[in-house]
Amino acid sequence: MKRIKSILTTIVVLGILLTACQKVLDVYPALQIYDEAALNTVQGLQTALIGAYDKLQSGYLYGGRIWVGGDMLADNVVKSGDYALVYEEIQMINKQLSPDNLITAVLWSDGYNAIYIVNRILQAIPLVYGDSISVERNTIEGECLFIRSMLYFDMVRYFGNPTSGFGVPLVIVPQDITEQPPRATIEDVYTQIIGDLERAKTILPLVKNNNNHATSYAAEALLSRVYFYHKDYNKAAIAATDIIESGQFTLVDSVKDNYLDQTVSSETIFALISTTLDPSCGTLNGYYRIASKPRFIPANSLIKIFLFTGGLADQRYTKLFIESGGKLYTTKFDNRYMDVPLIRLAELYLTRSECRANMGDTVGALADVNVIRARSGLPDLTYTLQSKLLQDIYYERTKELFFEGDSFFNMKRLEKNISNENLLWNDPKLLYKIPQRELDVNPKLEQN
Amino acid sequence: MIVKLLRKMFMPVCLFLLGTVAAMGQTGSIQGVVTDKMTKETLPGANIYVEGTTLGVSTDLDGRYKLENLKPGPVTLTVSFIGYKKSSAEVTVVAGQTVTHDFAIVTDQMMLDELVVVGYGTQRKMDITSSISSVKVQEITDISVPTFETALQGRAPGVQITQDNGMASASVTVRVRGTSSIYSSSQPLYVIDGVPVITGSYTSTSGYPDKSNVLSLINPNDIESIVILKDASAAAIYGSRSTNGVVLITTKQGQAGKTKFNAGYYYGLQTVTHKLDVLNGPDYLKYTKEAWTNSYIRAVKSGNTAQITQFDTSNNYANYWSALAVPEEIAEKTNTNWIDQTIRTGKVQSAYLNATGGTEKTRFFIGGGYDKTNGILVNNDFERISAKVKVDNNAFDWLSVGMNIGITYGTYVQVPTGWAGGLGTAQSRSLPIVPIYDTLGGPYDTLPYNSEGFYDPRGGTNVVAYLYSQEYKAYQTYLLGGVYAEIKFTKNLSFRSEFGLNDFFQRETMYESTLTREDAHGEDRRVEVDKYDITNLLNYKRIFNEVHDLGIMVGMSSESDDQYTVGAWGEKFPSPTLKNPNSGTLRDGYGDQTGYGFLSYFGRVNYTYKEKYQLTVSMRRDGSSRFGADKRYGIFPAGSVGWIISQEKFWKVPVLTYLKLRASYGLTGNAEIGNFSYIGLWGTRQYNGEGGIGPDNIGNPYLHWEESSQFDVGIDYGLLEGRISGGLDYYYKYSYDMLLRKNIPQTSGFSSVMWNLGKMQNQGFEFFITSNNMVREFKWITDINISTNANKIIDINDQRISGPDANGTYGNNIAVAGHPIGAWELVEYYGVAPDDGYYTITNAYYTGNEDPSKFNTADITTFQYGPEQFQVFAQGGDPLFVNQYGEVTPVWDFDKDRNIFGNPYPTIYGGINNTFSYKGFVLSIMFTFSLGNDIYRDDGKFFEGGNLGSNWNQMSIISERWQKPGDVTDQPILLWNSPLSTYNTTRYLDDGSYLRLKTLTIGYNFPASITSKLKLDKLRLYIMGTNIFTFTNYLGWDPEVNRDNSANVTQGVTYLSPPQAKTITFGIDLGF
Repeated sequence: MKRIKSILTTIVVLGILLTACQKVLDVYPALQIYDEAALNTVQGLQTALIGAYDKLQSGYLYGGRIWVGGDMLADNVVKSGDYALVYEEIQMINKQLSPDNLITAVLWSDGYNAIYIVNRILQAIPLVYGDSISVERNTIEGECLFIRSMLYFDMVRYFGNPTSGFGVPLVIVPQDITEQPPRATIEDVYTQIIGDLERAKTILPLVKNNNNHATSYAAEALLSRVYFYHKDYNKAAIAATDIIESGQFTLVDSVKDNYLDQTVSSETIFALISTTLDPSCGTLNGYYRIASKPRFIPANSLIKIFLFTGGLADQRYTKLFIESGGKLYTTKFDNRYMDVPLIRLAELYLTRSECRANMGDTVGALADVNVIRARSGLPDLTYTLQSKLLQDIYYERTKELFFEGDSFFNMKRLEKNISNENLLWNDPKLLYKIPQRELDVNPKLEQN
Repeated sequence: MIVKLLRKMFMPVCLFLLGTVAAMGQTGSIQGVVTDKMTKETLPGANIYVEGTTLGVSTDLDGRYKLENLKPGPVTLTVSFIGYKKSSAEVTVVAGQTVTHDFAIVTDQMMLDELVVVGYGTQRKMDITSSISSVKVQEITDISVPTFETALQGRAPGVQITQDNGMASASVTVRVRGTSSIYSSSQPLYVIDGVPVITGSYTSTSGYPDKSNVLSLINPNDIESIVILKDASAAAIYGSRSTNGVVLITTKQGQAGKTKFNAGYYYGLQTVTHKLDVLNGPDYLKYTKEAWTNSYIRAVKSGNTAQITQFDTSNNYANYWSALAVPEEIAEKTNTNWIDQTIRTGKVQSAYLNATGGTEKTRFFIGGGYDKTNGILVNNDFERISAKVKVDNNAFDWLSVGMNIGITYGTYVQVPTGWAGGLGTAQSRSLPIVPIYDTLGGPYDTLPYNSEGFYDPRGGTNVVAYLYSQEYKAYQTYLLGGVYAEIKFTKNLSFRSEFGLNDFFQRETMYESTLTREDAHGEDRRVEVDKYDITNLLNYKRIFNEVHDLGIMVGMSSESDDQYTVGAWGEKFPSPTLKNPNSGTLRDGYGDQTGYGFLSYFGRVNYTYKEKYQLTVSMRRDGSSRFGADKRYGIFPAGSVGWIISQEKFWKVPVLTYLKLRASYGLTGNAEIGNFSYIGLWGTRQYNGEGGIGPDNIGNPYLHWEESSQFDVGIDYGLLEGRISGGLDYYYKYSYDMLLRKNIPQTSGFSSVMWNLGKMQNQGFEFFITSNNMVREFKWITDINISTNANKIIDINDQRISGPDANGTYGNNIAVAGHPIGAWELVEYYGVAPDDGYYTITNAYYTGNEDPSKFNTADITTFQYGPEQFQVFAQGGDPLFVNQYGEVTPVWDFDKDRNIFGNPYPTIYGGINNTFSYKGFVLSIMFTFSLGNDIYRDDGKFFEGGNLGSNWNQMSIISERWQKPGDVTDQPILLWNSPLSTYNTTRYLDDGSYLRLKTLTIGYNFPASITSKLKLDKLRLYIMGTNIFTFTNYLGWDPEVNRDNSANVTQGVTYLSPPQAKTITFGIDLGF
């Protein structure tokens, strides 16, 4: 009897052992998919591409600080006093960037993270599609090239050292974790970007709005910007002309319409989309939006440009500035669900205007800059003295694109002195530092 | 077998018959009194039994006993009583008579026969060859603290316990023999009644940065004993989770006999231990104005026109007044003490009622408790209702079964303390010149502080507005239960099977109104943790030839843990009375699901020869779902030996009456690394309303356990028959294959990958002594325990691992080889330049501007060292630092001049407890101390002149600032929004050593003469104080502080952290 009980007990226990126990080790993630299965299908490629766009929304990328960083270094903004600045912002205002500055370090890490995603997609495309070429395939590839180019372009402008010629490491295929890529030259990075964008332009759909993803126009508009900053004014003008003459984009009457909630204006060529649950502009709101007790207000130097180059009747002043409590705030980023306009038609006019002026076409240059002036309610410029014209184009560009990530780089391109301290355009204080943690693990990198 | 069964069935019948027969014949009785030989006090509750029979009784309230119906003839009577040595006597029963035999028994100060709970079993204290600390139940329950962990503070050698702050339900950091891991958890494994339990914090951290503690849901009054397994030999039976030590908790069990009740209640008041000294309104104006003036003078000196304009002092400082947070007329007449708005006199209350009783066959314990803490911070409450039942039944002599179930319901209320709202803001961004209310009676200055479109915990200054606008409550249910069956196959062989269940449910509701937010925000979050485990044990125990004592245990266990989180938030509510997220117009949900499993087989052999030579060998094989299929299993062997020298015949040392040597060695593991670190994963993303995926983790299929080898050698000693006893241990714990996030170039798309690559050591001594200084009517017992621990990172692949977050760190803690974990990477602070002057820096030259002397230090950043000498100019009042060559410099260059300083963990810590008793009075005084640890006040750099001008209040210590040439001080010149003070330097690294009067208890146990009249067994009244005073040089709130208990590297850092509480309680305990 007792033996029977013992045996029964043993059977019960063994039963538990064999059924319940082996299974306790089989635990699978419920909200994630395995890397090896992530990019094996068209859906995998497309959703990963969404993941790359999502990364662009990071507050350290196009969600904000790629724009704000340069304005802090250039002293285009001053502390509002409404909200305490954090350590890394104070460093930037003081031009004392350390290699652990979060704004620079996360631009690096988020940037390369987004680049990793598109590199993985680009690597997987031939495996998923084989030899067949389709619009779908080309669109995915083109968007990847566009995203990668845009990131490299901004990273090389922040980290690239014009004195040494070093840009950023150029990673165009997913790299192994043991690889230690050195900094490529600025020239090599530009060559890659230009090549990628030329291809993206041809393979992306030639439509105005590819469901808010990158289009052929977006690629070409970015290409115009890249040529412009590479001082290849001829090609920049040609690309700008293609966009302007495509007829797809028109300037809005009221500049404020470029910054509305969940609206891509008729002048915006590429925007970072906001939804109410997933806004792209939160960081920008935090920096400038009056109701958010912003960190920054526009610097006097910017107000002075408005004052002295056309006066305060300019709608870019009347509609995009507001006084409150003795301080002048900008209202450009007042909407919480703004689609962040990363490339606007106005920029292409200004780009072409300057290119034309540089190439001696003052008539064409005047025509372009006057399009922008007219929209803002300013009288046409009429003189043809090149140096004065270039100066006024500079002012128009500054006023049109203020706080949109252009001014700092534009000053560097023009080799103007920068910031309250009148630093030389190539002063190392104006360079983003390579993150210390990166130098620690990659001895092939050289600090700026 | 049949025969045996028959015997089993007939035995009770026979006994009954025998009893009847005996009753019919002539019998005799024995009676007597049991007293303490030393104090002569009578001892109620002692057990008297007749050897070789089941006959036995307990002494009554007066220590009397009477055994009746005994067969005539000689019998051996034995008396046993907890805390006393067993005593036996031959007594001859005479038919028809009552023989009197009194016992005067002596205390057993060594308690060598006491059974101590060890992993998967119990052992006689004498037979234990490993290093464990056992804490008596009375030490826990006599202290009126709401959680058992804090009751352990200073009581167990080798165990360092820090309550992270003084909030209700605060998290507790426990380190057994130092920190053995960098990235994995360093908290011990908690096992309650054999079940590894849910621990940690599950409260949402979004905006509510301070953690709660699930273990505070355990009622300390239900606990019988706590044992901490420290060395490998004791802990390795728990294999892969034993590196950090194991805390074994046994809850109270039923005692056969008359049903006894115990009840108690206490009520107490709490205040903060120490109040941070910050500026009041007039001082704030004085110092900010001074800073403004200084900034102006410096701007003039350097010719910085922009700053000359900014710091213009004309028009009666018009620019200054407009730079302040409030208008001049308000600022000048306001003096708000914001800290006082967020702290209060807290109240603690606790009541419990236990019942225990039953028969030899079935015993039960029923316990209930209610606790309520209204903490020292406004809106910080914790309430706990607990119930527990434990039943054990000896169904047959070969089968016993039992179950226990404990259930707790807790509620937890909190406003965020770190930044927005609570005390954190009150001491920093809430300025004393800002009034609480505006002229209309509403909160002053409550414009929405919204950054980045979502709730930003860094916003907000009007604490009172936050106290009104924010609601947070967590409802927690904790269920811990189990059933077991134990079968005795033979006298020597038994089998035990246990099933344990541990569940935790939590609902959190959060709401913030438009008073402090642009849009009201409501949130509801639920967490469910389901955990079960199965354990099967086969035990064999036998004594061969009376000298070989052999015990063998083999077993298996499997454990499964699943966690589910789901939450929803809503905004844009149609009415302020609607707060449920589902009534929001804009709403969204989120959630998570994860889990892990363990499958383990283990065994242990204990062998003792002649009660002198002892050997224990154990082995465990663990499987875990947290590792790839090929690396899933690990083996953890351990062994220990003991030798009781004092049992040897040659041992004739008169004073040293007990001496045991022991040594152990073994391997333990740590697998607390998150559930899916070994595999590359992509998680969900969204953009433009479309669903996407993005890389979350880069896999490493070679991941395996962290391991530690630990060597321990120790002695247990007893002097003067145990009047003085204690132990001494030395241990060396070597952790290797530590799981680290190996930093990789971010150009790969990732920052780090989990890798087994670190090596770290901990070594130290543990010493404790219990001395019965006076043992007669006046008793005086001294307990001292002192532990040392030295941690050193041996190799982490040349990495410098900072804080918990890959991108953002706080406190500058770092893990780097050659230093203790969590040391700080800082620039050495030298002091303040008394006068304008040049500092010569050798081998250095400056490559920025031609004439650097024109610029103050803030302008000099790129500083390169080269062949030439260079002079750097500092103005009087500038802070000075020490550079990499040991030279004093006004230039703070973190990249070049940083160095490693300090240690967040104490090198020596422990407790000293003195208990005096006379008649019924008991006075207990306990000190705890911690020496050699440092605390980095990460807020200091903003507090001491740093954020002056950035709307931060400042510590009053800035009154010692530099003011005029020649001043010698450590506090630099005050400047408006100066960058000079916000650098991370050793200036904010404080010695965190302290000596604290942790508890002082005065209690009175009423004598039996009174209690018997009240029909009580026991009546005790007491007053107790906790954290009464503290000797320390630490400048912040309280030196017992820890900002984030989940990170090993980031320890000993404060950032606006809440202080500790000082508590006075009055209590009563009853037994009846």
